[in-house]
Amino acid sequence: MFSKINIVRFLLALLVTASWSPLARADEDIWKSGLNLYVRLTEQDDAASGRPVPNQHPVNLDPAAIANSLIDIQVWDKHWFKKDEIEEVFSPEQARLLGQQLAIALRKASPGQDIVFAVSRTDTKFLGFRDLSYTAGRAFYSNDRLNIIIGDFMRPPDKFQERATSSAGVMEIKYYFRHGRRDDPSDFESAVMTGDGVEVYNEGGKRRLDWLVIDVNRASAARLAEEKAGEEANAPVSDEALRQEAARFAQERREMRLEMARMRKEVGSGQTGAESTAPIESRLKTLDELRQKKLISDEEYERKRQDILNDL
Amino acid sequence: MKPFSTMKLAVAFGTAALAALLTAPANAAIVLGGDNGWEVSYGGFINLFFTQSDFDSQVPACAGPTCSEDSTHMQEGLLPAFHTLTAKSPEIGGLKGTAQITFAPDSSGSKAQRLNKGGAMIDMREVFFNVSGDFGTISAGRTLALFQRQAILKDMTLFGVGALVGPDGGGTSLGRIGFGYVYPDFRTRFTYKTNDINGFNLEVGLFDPQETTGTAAEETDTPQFQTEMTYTTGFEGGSFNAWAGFLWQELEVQASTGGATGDIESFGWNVGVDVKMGGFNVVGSYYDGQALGTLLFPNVAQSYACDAFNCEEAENDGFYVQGTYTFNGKTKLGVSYGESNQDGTATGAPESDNSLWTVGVYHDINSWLKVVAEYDHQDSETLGNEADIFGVGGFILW
Repeated sequence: MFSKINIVRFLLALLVTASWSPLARADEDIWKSGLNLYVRLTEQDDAASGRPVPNQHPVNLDPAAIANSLIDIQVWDKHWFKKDEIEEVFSPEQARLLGQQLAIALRKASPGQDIVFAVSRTDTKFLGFRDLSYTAGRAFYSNDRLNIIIGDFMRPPDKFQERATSSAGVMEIKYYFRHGRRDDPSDFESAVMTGDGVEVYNEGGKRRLDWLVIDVNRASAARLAEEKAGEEANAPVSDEALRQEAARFAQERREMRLEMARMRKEVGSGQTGAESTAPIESRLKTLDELRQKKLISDEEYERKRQDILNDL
Repeated sequence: MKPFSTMKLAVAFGTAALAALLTAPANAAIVLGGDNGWEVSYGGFINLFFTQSDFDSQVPACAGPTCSEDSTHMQEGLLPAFHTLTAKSPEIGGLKGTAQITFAPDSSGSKAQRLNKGGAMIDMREVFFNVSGDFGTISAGRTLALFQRQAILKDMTLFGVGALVGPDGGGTSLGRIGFGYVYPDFRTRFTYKTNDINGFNLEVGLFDPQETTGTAAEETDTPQFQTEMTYTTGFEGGSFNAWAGFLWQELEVQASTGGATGDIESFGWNVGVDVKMGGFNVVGSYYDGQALGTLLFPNVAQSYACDAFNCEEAENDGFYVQGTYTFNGKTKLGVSYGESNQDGTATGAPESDNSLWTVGVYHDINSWLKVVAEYDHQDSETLGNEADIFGVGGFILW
């Protein structure tokens, strides 16, 4: 029925098919770790209007400048259950890795090539659990700016499937990430804290929150200046007034960027200034104070608090 | 007894050479938590389900109270508890080593007996090591076999209940084993796997041949062959994965209850696809072959039969299709249907058809806690029953 000779022929045919596959990809790995982490050259994707303008590749950028410009990119997100509303798009480790590898990739890339990447990070979450997540995107240099489109942002791995398969002889699961596209916004819609060389792409008046446009040198310089200001603020200097001024300046910059991001998010979600969260916060604080001073009852407090929250 | 042929001699030499290659780099001392580059990890999960089932006998002339049984039961799902210890070596001379042991105790037993699976024994599912390099990966030891491996790993009932052997049984449930694919089982083998070649991977293996009785009435003097080829590629927002597998084994029946003797040749092939797009996921799997058994290969007692003149293999085939949609990356809704069928033989192997419908919700509360609710309807000539099963349960993972 199925002789031993036929078995050998079957196996050889499989091997030859795999080796001479016509589906060979044109992608070139610049850096790779395991199945799921990489920085890779790939064909330029389509723009919304059709074929995109060729990239300004190859280009020489300083790895440290790229890393510095990425470290400082933050998003503002609304969380009801925690105070810290600011989140880094890239962890310092991710930014350093991308700085090094994107610099190499940008030197090697042709005008018709983009760079796609997937990097991981481990963050401490609720109850101290450490969670791994992946961030993937697309990068290219155009109009004298580094463009990064975020596809998957902090995507968690399928730990249950990983455990089941790794206990079945399959040591690693391959994930396929969304790298973001020029012609189709991804699900990354957090409000980016722009300024200091970091903007979001604006196409015909429509902002693409997933598409970062970075003036690498300016963003890097801003970060270095901020670091310096922070160091000076903490340094034991003789001129106390100067130290306080530097610290205050750094604090004001941070608050201003946060406020700008908040305002953009509100504009994006159709809220008016009168309905913004800042007055609501103020009203909630006032309400808290009134209750603490026992000027209103608990029942009045709860009713009024709900009214305020309904305004959101 | 047949003479030791040139083919068998070549296989024996090949196996010996493979074994020599595998043992060659094993010169590193493992220091747990040491700074010599070794990494040792421990992971696993435990699950338990509450099931409510309604079983009816499929015996045509069955009458009386023993023909049906309603049952409340607390039992594990298709997966037992897994406890996996993995040691990974540093890369030395382009070689990386991995050793893994997985033991799988049960969180439940049958209603008639607290302990199951032969008393206090623990199912040692995996004991193997890998050596990887630019040449690919050579693996030796016991782990999940290749034939139909993808079918079970992509089955949504892997984290559910699926079919049950009966209303009061212990140990794991069947999932879709025998209702869409034949159980690959955890088998001892030497395998070679290529590195990724443009999305392709090929894994071939020499497996310890399987016998039904383990007595002189059966003889297996060549290895069992299994292979699996996979192709995966991604596109923006999704991925495509296809696979094909193959199994072959020869078993010589030297004494049968029917009287005849002869060679029983088991072979099978399987193919499948897994397409993900956004939150949607569609999986399709098909297999065909002979003397595979319906539930478990090579529990071949039912997959061939001998009469006074000859022995004959039964034909087997089966498939399943599955569609799921995942909300917010955490909640998966799924429906699946599958069949496993066997044609009877003139020598007496039984005809046997099984089918299973499954509808399930699988929700990850967080990265270490999963809850599941599932409804299954099974119809099995192999098990002789028809059942409606509702199960709710959960997994903890570390």
